Amino acid sequence: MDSMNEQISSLTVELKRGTLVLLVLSQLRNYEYGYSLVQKLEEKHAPIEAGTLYPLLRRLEKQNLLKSEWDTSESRPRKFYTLSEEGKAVYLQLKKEWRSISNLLEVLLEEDENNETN
Amino acid sequence: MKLIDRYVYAVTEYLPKDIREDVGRELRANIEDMLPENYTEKDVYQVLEELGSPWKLANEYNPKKRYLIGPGYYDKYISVLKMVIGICVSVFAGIAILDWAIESPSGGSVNNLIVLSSKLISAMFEGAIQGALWVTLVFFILERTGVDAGHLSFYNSKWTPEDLPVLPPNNKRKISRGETIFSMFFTILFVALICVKPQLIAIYDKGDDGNMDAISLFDIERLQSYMIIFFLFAIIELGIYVWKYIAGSWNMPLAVANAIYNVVSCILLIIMLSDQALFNSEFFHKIVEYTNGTSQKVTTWIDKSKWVLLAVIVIICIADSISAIVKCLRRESNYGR
Repeated sequence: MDSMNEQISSLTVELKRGTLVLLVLSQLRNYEYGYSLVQKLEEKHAPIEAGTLYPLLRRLEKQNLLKSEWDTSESRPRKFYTLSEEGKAVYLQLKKEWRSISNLLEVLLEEDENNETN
Repeated sequence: MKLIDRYVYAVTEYLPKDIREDVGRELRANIEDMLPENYTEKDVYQVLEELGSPWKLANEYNPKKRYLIGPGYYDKYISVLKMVIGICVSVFAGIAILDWAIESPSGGSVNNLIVLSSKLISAMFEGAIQGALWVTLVFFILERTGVDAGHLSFYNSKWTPEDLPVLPPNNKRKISRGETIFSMFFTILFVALICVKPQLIAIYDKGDDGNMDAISLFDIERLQSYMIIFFLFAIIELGIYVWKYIAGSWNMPLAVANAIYNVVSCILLIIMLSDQALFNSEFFHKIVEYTNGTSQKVTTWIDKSKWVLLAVIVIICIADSISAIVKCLRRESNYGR
């Protein structure tokens, strides 16, 4: 039983990993800094580990999906991220892809449930 | 706060220079954001625990390839490594035996055998280390430059069936493995001799006192000045052999590299052969003594044979370069059908 739970949790992690980028892109219409994004996602019940999110933001910036700015006006300097033009376009396209995957899967799963009840 | 400094240091220590500072600054800001106001050491401890292992984090931050030989080359690397280490160990052992036989001609005593076996062991060990070092270097270069990338279906998404290796039996385009191993053996033997024991290339003369006298062909000191360039050539040649060995058949970049290498090594050979100071004049005196000829005659004879040797090598190089390119062109036209 334990090994099954382990398998389920590792498969769940993989499922979530694929949606991570889309999830982060969806929250960056406005400028956010690392920790504000962590909190925001936590509030929305989609927590991401800080140790995963911080490097991810950097990687997305390097892929030109995000742009960043250091804000040094406050007592504590912070690096703010938001979608770049390219990022916005990619986000829109990715959203479409996700909807089609999720619809498709929904149909398949429902079909299977109907078969079961018959 | 010491703990934060140590954490940031641990994350950024091995990151590339250009991003190190920015990552550190951002990470520090993020950590401070996660802390409450007027935080204590205990709060810091908790936050760092939440962030997890700094090495894992560094791994996520690092954009570089973090391996010496990747999975695409790994199998080939191991197979070449085994082969070259085998060749190097036998070459070094052979040189050690030769060296021993010349240095202690009154062999057979127990003491002598002990000397021989200790020499053998250290020579074989050195051979293995040298072989492993240079093969690893060659593969490292292949890995980073990505030559022969067409064979790495692992990374190359545009794989086509044309990339399939050619079947071995009776295929003329195929570079024979035996041939590669054979030429690799002699190259390594030659290079090891020149680099490790050039004095072994000599005329051996049993003196009146029963000791073996070796009159070296080369002026050892002069030879030393060629050593770096000579060694560089050897590494490039080893690289081309390895490339040939793993490619299995000729392709255009390989054939062109082979041709360029042949031309440049011929030029080096011409330079070395025309350098009078490179050769030990005593060696030629000895030849004069042996042949009972006049030194005039012997000198002209040696001069002639030198240029004949050179001409033969140049012709072999040209033939080798052209045949590789022709095989390659034929292959490409076959695919073009």
